[in-house]
Amino acid sequence: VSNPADRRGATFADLVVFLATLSLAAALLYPAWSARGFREQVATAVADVEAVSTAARRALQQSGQWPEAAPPGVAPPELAGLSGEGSAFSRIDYRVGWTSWNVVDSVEVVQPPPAPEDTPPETFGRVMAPVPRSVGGVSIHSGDPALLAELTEHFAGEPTFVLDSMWMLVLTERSTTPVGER
Amino acid sequence: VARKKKKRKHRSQQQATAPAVSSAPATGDVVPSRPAPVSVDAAPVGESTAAAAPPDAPPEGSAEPGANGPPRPTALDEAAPAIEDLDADLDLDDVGGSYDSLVAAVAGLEDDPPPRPSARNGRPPGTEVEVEEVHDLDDEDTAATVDRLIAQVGRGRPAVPPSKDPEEDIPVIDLDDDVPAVPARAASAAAAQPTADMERLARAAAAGALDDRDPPPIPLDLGNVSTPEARARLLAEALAHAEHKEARYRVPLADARRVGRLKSAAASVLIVAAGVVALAPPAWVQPQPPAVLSEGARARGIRLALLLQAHQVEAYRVRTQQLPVSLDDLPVKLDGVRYARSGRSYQLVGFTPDGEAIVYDAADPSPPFRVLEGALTPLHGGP
Repeated sequence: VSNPADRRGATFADLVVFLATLSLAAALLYPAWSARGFREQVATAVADVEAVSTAARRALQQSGQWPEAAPPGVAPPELAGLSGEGSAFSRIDYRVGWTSWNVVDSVEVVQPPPAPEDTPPETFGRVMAPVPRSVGGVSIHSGDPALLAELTEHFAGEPTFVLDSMWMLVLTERSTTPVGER
Repeated sequence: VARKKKKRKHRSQQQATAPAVSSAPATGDVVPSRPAPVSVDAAPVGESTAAAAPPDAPPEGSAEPGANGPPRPTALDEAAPAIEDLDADLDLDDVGGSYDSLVAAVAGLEDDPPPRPSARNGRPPGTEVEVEEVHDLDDEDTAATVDRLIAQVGRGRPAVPPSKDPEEDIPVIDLDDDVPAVPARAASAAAAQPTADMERLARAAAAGALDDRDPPPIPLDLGNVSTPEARARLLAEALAHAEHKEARYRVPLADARRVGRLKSAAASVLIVAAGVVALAPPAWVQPQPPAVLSEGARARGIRLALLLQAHQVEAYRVRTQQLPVSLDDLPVKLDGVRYARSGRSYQLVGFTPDGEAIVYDAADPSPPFRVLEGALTPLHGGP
C-alpha cells in the first residue's frame, strides 16, 4: 500500500502530461502568433499610406499643387514629420515613396459661334484639346509580395497597381496648375 | 485497594500546589521537528486514560520559559487536568515539539524521563542493558500487541499487574477506579475530541504543517517491564504512536481526493477546449492566410501602370510637341516598362511575372485601357 502522503502532489505522469499539453498548445498557437506580427506590419503600412495621402491632399488644398516627388524612403518637405519617429517614409520592412504624375485629359474646346460675314466651315466637328493635370502617387517599396498583396486588397476600391517590388496608390485630384507651366 | 486510591487522591490534591516541574526538553536534546498537533485522545481507552493524568502536575502559570524551551503547557499545570486540557497539552508545538514530551504528557510523568532501557528494567540510569526485543509499531505484530494492550485497558484490567513496589509516589494508571477522575464536563468533551482532533489534523495537513515522517521506532521490552512508570510510559507511547500513524493515514487521503478532483476538472476543461479547437477553430488559433495577388489583379495593375506612363509621354508631347526619345526624358519613369517609338505613335510594354507581355499602343489602346482610363479621372472636380 502506497503512502497516501505521496499522492498529495503532482506525479511524474502528471508533469509529463502537462508538458505535452503545453507543447501542443504552443505548436498550435505559434502560426497565429507569427501571423500577428505580419498583421501588425500590414496595419502599420496602411497607416503610413493613409497618413501620406491625407497630408498630400492637405498640401494640395493649401498650395494648389501636389508635393514634389522624392525618392523612396525620403519624405518631401511638405510631407515631412508625419509621425513621431521623425519620418514615416523609412521602415524596417518597407519604404514609402511619393510621386507626382502628369496626366493629360482631352477636353472638348468650345468653338466661338461664326460671324455672319464669315464663311461657314465645310465640316463641323468637335475640337479636342489636351489639358494637362497632375495626380499623386503613394508607393510602398518592399520585397515581401504578401505585404504588397495585402495593400492591394485593403485599397481595393482605389486605383492601385503592383509593379515588381512596388505598390502604388494613385491619388486622383485635379491640380490647378497646368503641367506645362510647372 | 480502596485505601490506596483514596490515599493517592489525597496526595494528588496536596501536590496540586507543588512547584512546577519544567517540561522543556533538556538543553542539547535533539528534538525532532513535529509541527503537527498530534494528539492523543481518550477515546480508545475510555475515561481511564484521563485518569493517567499526572497527579503531581504543577499549578498553571508556574512554568518558567527558560533557556531550555517553551513554557510548560497549561494542562499539566493544573491540579485536576480535564481531558480537553490534556488534549491541548498534547499539541507538540505547546509541549515543545518533543515526542518524549508528548508521551510524558500522556503518561503524566516528568518530561525528562530516564533512559528507556533503564526505566523499563528498573535499573539505575546509565546501566547498559541489552534490549531483548525491539518492536516497531509499524509492524503488524507489534500493532497487534498494542491493540491487545489497548483492549486490556478498555476492559478495565491493567496490562501488567500492579507492582509491589512500596514506592507509591509513582503515578500509575488506575484502571479499576470506579470513581470518575474527571468531571462530567470533561467526559462529555472527551467524546467530542476525536472529531475535533480530526478537523485540527485536517487543517494542519492542508496547511502543510503535518509531519509525514515516521516517528522513531519504539523499543518495547514487554517482558522486562516491571515498574508502573515504565508501563504507563509504554502505554502512552504506544497510544501516541498509534494516533500519530492513524492521523498520517487519515488526513492525506482527504487531500488526495481534493487533488484528484482538481485533476479531473482540469482534464475535463482540456478535453472541451481541444474539442472546440478541433471542430470550430477560432481566428486566433487558425490565422487568416496572407493575401496572394491574383493573375487578373496583377495584369490589371500592369495595365494601369502602362496607362500612367503613357500619360507622362502625352504630357511630354504637349509640353514639347514631340515624343520623348526614351523614358529617361520623362520626369517620372516606372521600372520594368519598355518604350518603343514609331513615327508619331509609340508603344509601352509591360511583363507579368509569368513573362506575358502587355502592350499599350498609343494609336489604338485596347479596351481594357479605356476602362482603366476612368480610374484616373478625378473623383471630384477641382477649381
